[in-house]
Amino acid sequence: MISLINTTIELALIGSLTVLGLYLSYFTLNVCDLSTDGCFTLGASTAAVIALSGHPYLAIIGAMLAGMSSGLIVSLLQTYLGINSLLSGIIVNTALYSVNIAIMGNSSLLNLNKTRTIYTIVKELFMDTPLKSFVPIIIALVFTLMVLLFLNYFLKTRIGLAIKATGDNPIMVEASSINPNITTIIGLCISNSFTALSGALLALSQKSVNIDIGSGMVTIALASLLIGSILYRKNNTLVRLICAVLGSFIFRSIYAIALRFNMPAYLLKLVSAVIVALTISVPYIKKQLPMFKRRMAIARGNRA
Amino acid sequence: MIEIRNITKLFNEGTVNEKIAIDNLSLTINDGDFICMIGANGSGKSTLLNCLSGSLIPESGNIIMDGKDITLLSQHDRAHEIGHLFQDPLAGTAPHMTMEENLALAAKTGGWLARINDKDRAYFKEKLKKLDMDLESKLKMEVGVLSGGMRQALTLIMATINTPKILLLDEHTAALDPQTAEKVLEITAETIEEKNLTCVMITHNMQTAIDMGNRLIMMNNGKIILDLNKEEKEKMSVDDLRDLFRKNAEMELDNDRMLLL
Repeated sequence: MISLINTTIELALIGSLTVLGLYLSYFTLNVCDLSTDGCFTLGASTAAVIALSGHPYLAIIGAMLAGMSSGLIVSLLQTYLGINSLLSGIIVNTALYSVNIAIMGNSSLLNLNKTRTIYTIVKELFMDTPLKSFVPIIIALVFTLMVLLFLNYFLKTRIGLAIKATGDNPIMVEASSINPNITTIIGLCISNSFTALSGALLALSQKSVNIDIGSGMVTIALASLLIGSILYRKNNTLVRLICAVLGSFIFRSIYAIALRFNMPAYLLKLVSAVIVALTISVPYIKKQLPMFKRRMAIARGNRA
Repeated sequence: MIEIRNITKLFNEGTVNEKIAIDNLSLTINDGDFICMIGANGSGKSTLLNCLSGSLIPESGNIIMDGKDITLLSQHDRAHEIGHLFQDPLAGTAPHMTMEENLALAAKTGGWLARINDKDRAYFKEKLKKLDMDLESKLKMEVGVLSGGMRQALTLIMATINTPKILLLDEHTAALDPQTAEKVLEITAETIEEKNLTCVMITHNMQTAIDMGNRLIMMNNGKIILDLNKEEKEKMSVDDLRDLFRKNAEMELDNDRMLLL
């Protein structure tokens, strides 16, 4: 039971990095970045390969840089090459499948059992303390806090505001002498570096990578993000970011509870798909409901 | 000074629907000019402003601003010298951002990593106070909750917060109720006078066109058919203008009839 709670917290924190990435692309820039799955795996495979070659710290930085370059390509496709934003995500996602296998040396599976990673390093530090078993949570928490505080600062800077405005009213952005292509590129590079970081941490924590590690991540992260967005009313960036992280916790808890009730693990993706569909459609249905009721009332009246 | 030299703008070039929106047009806009522009729908007024702002690029001809050729410069690259207001009061502001965030993007104080500070807020408040719309107390409010008139007034402040070389007003009061429109026009006139701005304003109100500004231009079929200075324009009445308007439209009809015959 304790280990289930531990795992849930850790997965929620690691997942929240992808959620925060999507907060930037989906909520702020209004771009649904469908390359998230591939980018998550890209971060995982890059970190694994660099860690295997004996550079535990560089593994994290390398993964983030890889994510950034993936974001750069997605954004170049949709800004300077005129490809629809959904499509450019799908194209890059497809390409990343080959890229990821190539990174892992023509293999779809890597094992990090005896590799020195930031996890083993921190574990050595806490060797004789009671915190020893919480190392994965501590590492994930530190990264989540760093990303959260970075975004909270960044979104209030002028470039952050320009990225926000690009998603809100591109006409106004051009009129403010800001190139909306540049803001899109910056936004997607940053958001994808967080997605890749998320993948890297998962790979290093579970000491293995397989090519499917990121599949369905975009739906899971969107579900978390949308669950989180129900929690706030106020227009406060910090509150919104914290709610995005909380959304990840709620999602993972639902999943953990479902597992306790013997839901087979393979249903995770179906559950996340249903949650995304529901969270997006419920507000719409709520809005339509009064009209629907009136129509029904009139129809009933006519029959009588 | 802005010189427009023989620009031509075509729509749907090379198709049966080809339309000459701007036809070999030349115009010199002197510093401090406040031009009112009138003309029927489709006469090319908006297209001309869009060519100036860079959202449209003319097929031929040049636009020279203070000696620099800006014809092919992209919109965002010339935006800091050009303020542009549209008929749609929602076009010029980001609805899900607060008023101070909108103003900060327009004011461009500090570097890219600078954040809004109290000095900025004081500056924004001072600017908004002049509008007399009680906007200065709403700095932290999302712009989407403001009325159309408030948003257009805010857009005007944003467009002129850093003095532009030219202000383009594309029927910016047409979507507002008469009272608000009058108020926004008043603010417009005050802002232009205070900063001694160069301005081109499109209007469909002949009386406004006569009363405001120091120059009046009438467009028809992508050409300037009338360019009056202050004295000439003051002698004009609304009826005179309307007659001129009609005469041109009739000439148009005659030409078409000739083509058909």
